[in-house]
Amino acid sequence: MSKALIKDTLRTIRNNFSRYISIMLIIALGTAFFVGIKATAPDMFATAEKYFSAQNLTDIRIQSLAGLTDDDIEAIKSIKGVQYIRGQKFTDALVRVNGEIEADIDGTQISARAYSISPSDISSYLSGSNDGAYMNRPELIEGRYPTALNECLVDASTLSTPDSYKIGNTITLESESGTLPSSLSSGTFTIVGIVRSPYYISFERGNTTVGSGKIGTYIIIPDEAFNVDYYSEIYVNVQGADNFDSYSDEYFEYIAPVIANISSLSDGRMAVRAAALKPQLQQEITEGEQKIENSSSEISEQLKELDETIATLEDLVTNGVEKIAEAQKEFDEKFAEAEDDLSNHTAEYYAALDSYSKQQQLYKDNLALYNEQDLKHTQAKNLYDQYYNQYLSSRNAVDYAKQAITTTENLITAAEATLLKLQDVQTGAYSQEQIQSIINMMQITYPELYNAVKALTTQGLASEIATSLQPYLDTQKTNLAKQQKELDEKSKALDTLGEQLSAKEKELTQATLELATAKNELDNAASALETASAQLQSFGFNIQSSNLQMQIERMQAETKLNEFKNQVNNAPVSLALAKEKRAEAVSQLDSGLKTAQKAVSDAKNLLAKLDTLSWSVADRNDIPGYEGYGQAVTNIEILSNIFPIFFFILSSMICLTTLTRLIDEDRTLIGTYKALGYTSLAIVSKYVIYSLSACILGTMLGIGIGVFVFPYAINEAYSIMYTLPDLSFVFPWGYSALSLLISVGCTALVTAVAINKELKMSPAILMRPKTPKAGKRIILEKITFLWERLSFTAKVTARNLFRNKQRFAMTLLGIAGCTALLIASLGMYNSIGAILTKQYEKDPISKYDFQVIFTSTQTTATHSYEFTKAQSDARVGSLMLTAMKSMTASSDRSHKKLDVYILVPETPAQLNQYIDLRSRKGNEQYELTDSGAVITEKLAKDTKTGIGDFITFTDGDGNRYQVQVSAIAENYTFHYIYMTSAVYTAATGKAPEYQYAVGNLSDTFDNSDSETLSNAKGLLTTDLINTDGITAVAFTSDTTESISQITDALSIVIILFFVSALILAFIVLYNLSNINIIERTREIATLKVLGFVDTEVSSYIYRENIFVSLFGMLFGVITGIVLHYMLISFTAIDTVMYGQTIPWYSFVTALAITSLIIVVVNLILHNKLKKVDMVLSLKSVE
Amino acid sequence: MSFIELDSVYKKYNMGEVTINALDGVSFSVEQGELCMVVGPSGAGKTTVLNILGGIDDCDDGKLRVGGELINQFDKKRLALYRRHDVGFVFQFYNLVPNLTALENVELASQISNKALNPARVLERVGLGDRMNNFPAQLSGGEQQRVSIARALTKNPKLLLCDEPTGALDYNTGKQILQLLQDTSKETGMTVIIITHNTALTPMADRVITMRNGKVHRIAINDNPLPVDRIEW
Repeated sequence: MSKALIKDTLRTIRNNFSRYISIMLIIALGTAFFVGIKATAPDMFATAEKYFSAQNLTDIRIQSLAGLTDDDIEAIKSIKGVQYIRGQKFTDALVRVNGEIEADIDGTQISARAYSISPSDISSYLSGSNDGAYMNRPELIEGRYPTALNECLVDASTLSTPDSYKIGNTITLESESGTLPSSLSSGTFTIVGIVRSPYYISFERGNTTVGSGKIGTYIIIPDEAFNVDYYSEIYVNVQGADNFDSYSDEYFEYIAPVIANISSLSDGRMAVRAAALKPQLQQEITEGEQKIENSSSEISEQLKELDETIATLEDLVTNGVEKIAEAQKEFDEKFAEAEDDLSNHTAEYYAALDSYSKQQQLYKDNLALYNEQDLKHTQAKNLYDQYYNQYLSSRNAVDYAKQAITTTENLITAAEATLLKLQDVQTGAYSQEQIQSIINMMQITYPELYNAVKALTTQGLASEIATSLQPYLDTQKTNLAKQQKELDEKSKALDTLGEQLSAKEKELTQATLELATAKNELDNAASALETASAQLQSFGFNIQSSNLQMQIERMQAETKLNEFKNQVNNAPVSLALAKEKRAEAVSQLDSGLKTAQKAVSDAKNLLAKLDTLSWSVADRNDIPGYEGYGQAVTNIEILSNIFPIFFFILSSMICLTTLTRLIDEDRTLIGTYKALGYTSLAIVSKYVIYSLSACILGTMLGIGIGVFVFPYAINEAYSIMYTLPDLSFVFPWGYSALSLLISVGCTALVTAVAINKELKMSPAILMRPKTPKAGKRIILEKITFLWERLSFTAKVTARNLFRNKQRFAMTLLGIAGCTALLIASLGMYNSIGAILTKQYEKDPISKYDFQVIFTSTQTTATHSYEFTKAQSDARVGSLMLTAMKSMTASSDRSHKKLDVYILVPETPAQLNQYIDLRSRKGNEQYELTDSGAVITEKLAKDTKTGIGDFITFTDGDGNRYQVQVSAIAENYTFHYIYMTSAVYTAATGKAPEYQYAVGNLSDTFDNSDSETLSNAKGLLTTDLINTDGITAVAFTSDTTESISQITDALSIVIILFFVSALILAFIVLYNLSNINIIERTREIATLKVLGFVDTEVSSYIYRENIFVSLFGMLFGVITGIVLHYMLISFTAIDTVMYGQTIPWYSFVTALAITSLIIVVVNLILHNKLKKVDMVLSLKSVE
Repeated sequence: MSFIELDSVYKKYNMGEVTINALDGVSFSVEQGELCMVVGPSGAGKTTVLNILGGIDDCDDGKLRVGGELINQFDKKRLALYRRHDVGFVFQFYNLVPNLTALENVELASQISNKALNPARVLERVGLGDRMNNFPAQLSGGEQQRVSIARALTKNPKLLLCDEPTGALDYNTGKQILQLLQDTSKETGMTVIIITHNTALTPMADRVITMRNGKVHRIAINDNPLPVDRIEW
């Protein structure tokens, strides 16, 4: 290649990058899908293979009901091909975790198969040695191996194990009667590790004779916990079997002769075992029968005691009322007396109270009197004081008057004396000097007189003085008389006052005397009141204390009476309780008896069968879940042959179209290269490089993504059901190479073919525009009468459609494929959802709300206490006894063996209240009659059983029974064989054991919200399991949760398909439509020039698209239905049946989504069409 | 006022760094019913003028009136309707839809026109009465061009635009086509504009516009156009 050509090649890629990318992506998608899904099955097989080999899964398993001995092992060892051999002990038992009963996925009490693990196994594990004789090695996921007798390992499967399987919890193994299983010496173990076992890869665990008949889980306990000296099964690994793939026919063929050889030993070895076992069994029977006899007498003794209590209580019940009346009477009498006493005391008290109040009144009166006296006394005193004061002042007045008189008298005396003297003077008795001295003396003694006399002296004459003194003296004498009179008056008044005062004084003295008397009386009254009060208090206390005492006594007596009344009232309940206790005792003793009886009957059974027993020698297909896993993986393999090829073809075709277009566009360029003298090879190489590089890159991208995404997603989905290690990715060299080869081959071929045509032409022709494809009449035109009726546009559309048949076909295929995939995946999604909805939710088949498991088998004639109690609970709407047993169903028409539940209702006529037996098509209701069994649809299909055929079911002991089928009922989860008691008895020779009941909640819960409902369920469960005789209550809603885990996982795969389909549809439609436009730009431009507006141009192109789309969708609907059918048939899982039909809304959704994609693509196209440039497109020739 | 009037019409093409003035101030007018020929060497802007006239391209500046309407101001939708009702196009390479018969190709146009002539009759008029149901691939070049003309005529447009209608045809066929166009113009009074680089054909036109380098070089009015059969080249 020349440099220029290389440059041109690179530029071609760059200029057509979106086209390049689209080729790459479509190839990547096709390859991813093809390689991815193709790789899934091998990956899953490889994972299993690696796991089986690492954990040394046994090739052959030998089981015998009579047990296997070391001698048997020696005998088998000698067979050619036997490389390793191991004896394994196990026992089946019911499980309690931390003392609580745990429910299995189907709602029954979970049972476990306990396997032994020997110290040598453990040390082999711990040392990491790869001892070939240690088979079915559990792989430790969490925790550690047991080191003590009371430690165990449990099952890791999330589906089959209860949530309580956690390290540190305690597991108790028990027989159906709640005792230690006979083959164990200890039955309580602490969980120390969680393991997964190659022996149990699925959640199926096989069947047992214990409990519901289905093994729910397994646990691994130390060897020493077993007290038996024989093995339950023997594992054999075959020399050289490792060289074969576990699921290949070659492997099973290789193993077959060894199995045959081991089986041939069976008769001989069984004879030996039988001979050894017979006396042992005989002894067991004898001992057992003795025990039964002993325990029978023990029962009667224990019952006697209980019966006495019951008799007492019964007496109370019947005579209770009478006895109460007696006690009441006694009580009443006693209290009449006490009440008398009390009333006497009361009377006394009231008398005292009366006197007290009298005294009190008296005191009060006295007090009033005293107060009155006091007042009087005060008044008297005041009056006295008043008079006294008056008297005093009066006396003073008298004194004053006396004094005045004295003074006046003195004056008179002095005046008279003077006068006398003066008279003397006159007489000359006195000299002048003497008179002067008298006058001077007067100045001292009579100042007033002096003044009068003084002047006189001068002029004076003594007579004159005497004359002037005489009137003075007279005045004084008058004064004195006046004063004398006044004094007399005053003295008189004083005397009167004195008299009055003494009267008042007398009065006061009287009052004082009276007050003292009153005081005295008051004091007396007070002391009398005090005395009365003290008396009253003492009587009051008396009455209180006697009252209190009476009340205490009354209370005591009353309590006693009430107690007695209660006793009588409760007597019926106590009686019931006592009876219950008796029933419990009976059932306990009974169960002990039953255990013994069962041991005897087991021994008898074994003894009877011993001579006819043989070994069961089986290959791995007999291991639960082994075949199922192979089947599941094979299903994926089948799927991988349907879908991816479809994708692959479509992507190749897209490539082809795109490349053809590229080469067409480059037509002139090719001509030019040719004209320039480039060889054909050089020219071809440009396009080959272009296409191959896109193709190789796309393939590698596809492989890179597909190899991981698809196996991972699908395995994730299956990992819910299968417990295996993480997926081992095995690079699918073969498929990768194949896909690379196919895409490279196709692309190269396509390129070569596309270009070959061009290369053959001469450069001259090439350089001219390609002659447009000649118009042709289409077949439709020959149908003239139809053609003529078509409108012009319809004709044009029809013609255009048929012009490019290849593209028409591809678009059709693309749309049909998209629709089909969408319908199939939506349909699948619904089918998976239908498992739950149809079985449990909307117009359900399993109508019952819960199941009750009884401790012991119930009799149907008279219902037990526990049944009646459950039935009469207000929250329970209805309850019906059922017998349920898990067995294995098969038929000679098919190799399939399925775990089924044999269900026998107590009252077949009422079954439809709990389980809706109906046909899927036509909705016909079935009655369960004595004419045969009703089996479920999937069971019928898998065992190829029709109405009138016989179906076989095998119990845990290997007993085979047959029953004729009278109807086939719609059912989605698990498998059931329903029959009446008569049919069951006829088939098995045994009466059904009714140990279960199915029930519905009361109607009152119909409108409860989920929280209320869930609380009510919890309470009801607690109440019921606290009733003796009820082991467990399982609600259907719990079962649906487990199942929804499975269905959710499957939905992931479906979503993967869904998304792939969407991407595919979009790429295909866009690519094809785009090319359609590119090829027709000239035509489109012409239309525009002719005056078509944008919408008309688009609709001109759309009409074709719409027609192809409609046609494609129609085609897709049909393909989708077929595809859906294939899917549900090929991916079927044993335990569930998918919804068989696609609901209408899935069709609608799928068509709507397809239409949406078409619309989106067409909208993008519309923009492209708008952009078509008339001038450029019509430019003559380039 | 003339039927077609171009007044200083400019059109530029940006080809990366280079700007080409395809039309550099073109002004001319054409009267109703005239057969007008636009001649000039390659790249003179003939086709651009035609495209703009036909409403499949727009101009950058100037005024363009057809029948009094300023079509350079039409929006996309209005332009489509203008093409639909007023313009007929004939291309050098016919641009027939290969998947439709001659009649159907004509019908393609008549379907959307509101004053369409009968497609079959139009085909008869262009001399293809007996080839109506043939596909383009079954027709000769001249016959295909006749279909193309019929497709343009069926819409009964006011204006018939022909871009090198004889470019891909031999001499005689070309002559027949030109005759058909001249007859159409004469008989129907339709305004016909023909683009050609062959100046020898100009005597048949009423008006000849010569273009050079995006400009109108010369406009010649031919008062006595010759019938086509009298022209030799």
